[in-house]
Amino acid sequence: MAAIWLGLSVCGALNHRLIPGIYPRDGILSAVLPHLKYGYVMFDRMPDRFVVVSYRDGLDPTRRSLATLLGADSWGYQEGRIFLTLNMHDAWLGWLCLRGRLGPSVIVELEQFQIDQPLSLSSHGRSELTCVDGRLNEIAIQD
Amino acid sequence: MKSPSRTDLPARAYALALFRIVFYLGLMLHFFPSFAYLDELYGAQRLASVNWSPTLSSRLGSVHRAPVWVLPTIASVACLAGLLGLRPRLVAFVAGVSLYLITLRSSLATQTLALSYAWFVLWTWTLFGGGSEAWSIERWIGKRRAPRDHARGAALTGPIIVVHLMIALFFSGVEKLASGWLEENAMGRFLILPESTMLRSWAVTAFKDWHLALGWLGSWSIPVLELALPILVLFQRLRLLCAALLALFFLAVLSVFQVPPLFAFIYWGGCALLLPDWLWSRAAGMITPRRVPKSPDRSHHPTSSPSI
Repeated sequence: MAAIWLGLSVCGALNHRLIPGIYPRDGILSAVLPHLKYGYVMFDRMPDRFVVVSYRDGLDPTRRSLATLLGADSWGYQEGRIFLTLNMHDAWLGWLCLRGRLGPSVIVELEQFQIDQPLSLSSHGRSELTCVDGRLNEIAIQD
Repeated sequence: MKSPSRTDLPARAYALALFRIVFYLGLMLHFFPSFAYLDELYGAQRLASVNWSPTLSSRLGSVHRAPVWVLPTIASVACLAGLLGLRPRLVAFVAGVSLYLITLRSSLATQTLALSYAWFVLWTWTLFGGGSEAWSIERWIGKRRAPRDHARGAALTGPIIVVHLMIALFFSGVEKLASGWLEENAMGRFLILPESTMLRSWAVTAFKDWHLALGWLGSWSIPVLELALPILVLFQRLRLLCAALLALFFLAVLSVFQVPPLFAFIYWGGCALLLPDWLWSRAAGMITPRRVPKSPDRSHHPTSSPSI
């Protein structure tokens, strides 16, 4: 049984990239044994374009991390999780606003970055948003 | 039935016990903070997100209609029981199922690839048992009755977990090679990130002028480490070195990046399983002083178990 169990681990790894199609990734096997779904990727690739979020409170020009506003629903990596969630879930900021997590004085700042070759980082615009009556409104765009 | 004395325990029992403690601590650290925001993250108003199995999730509607606190309560009790070493096989099953259902409910706060490793460990524990022979409530109760899960299969749990962790580590290296880490300075792309991203604040400042060189160093050394360690652990004499490298590697990752520490906890626990028997025997001797005189015939002293 141990050999079969470990054999499945190897299949999970092979199915990810080297020999895709050994079993369907969204089938019942991956559902019951979730470790077989994504292969074993610990650190993947950073995308070329990404968005970074921060906020300021009213007239105070100090930019703060959104992590300080949202509380710690993950310990030790709150900013990392916000960064990933923001870039993977388009609806997340709107949902935060709808749930009343962004107060009326909060101005959310989004900055778009691009990773260029040779390796360098460039800013590609900034937008500012406020949350009014459960909806996000863009208040300024600076290029 | 007379329970085994502390000195009768195989050295590997302490290794698996330490893995158990570190593993469940990691799980608790990963899930418990999100349980403080139950309604928001898991309630009816949660943000719908892609989870482990949309098919299974849609078929488990009735489970997810239960009050939002039910599954986290069951999972919390199971994790605590696992940490304390109570009924490891049953507890692993309950923890695995409840945590899986929680992530099916909402993956936003809990979606991390480290969970796939966690479920492998929990299912392995469910299948093979063990882990409560040392440093556990079962052991403490064992003063009056024999510890549970002292089956033959339990001796396989530790080695199976180590082999899986090494398979995962090796193929993680293969994945990096296949996705062009060596050609693209993939690590440099992480080290160039600004504040409020995955990079910790101190690293943003410290690596500002060094991201290119450190990036190349990381882009080469990490895949090499991931490919080499699973091979080096095959040599008994090198296992202590491998455990040290693995522990330092994950410590460095957590120090530089804001990533879920569950990966690190699982592999730190795995380091305990990699340590050689003689080290555990010595450590166990220091932690739990002998009550009976040492047998002159060392061949009858069960200090070793099936090796990987």
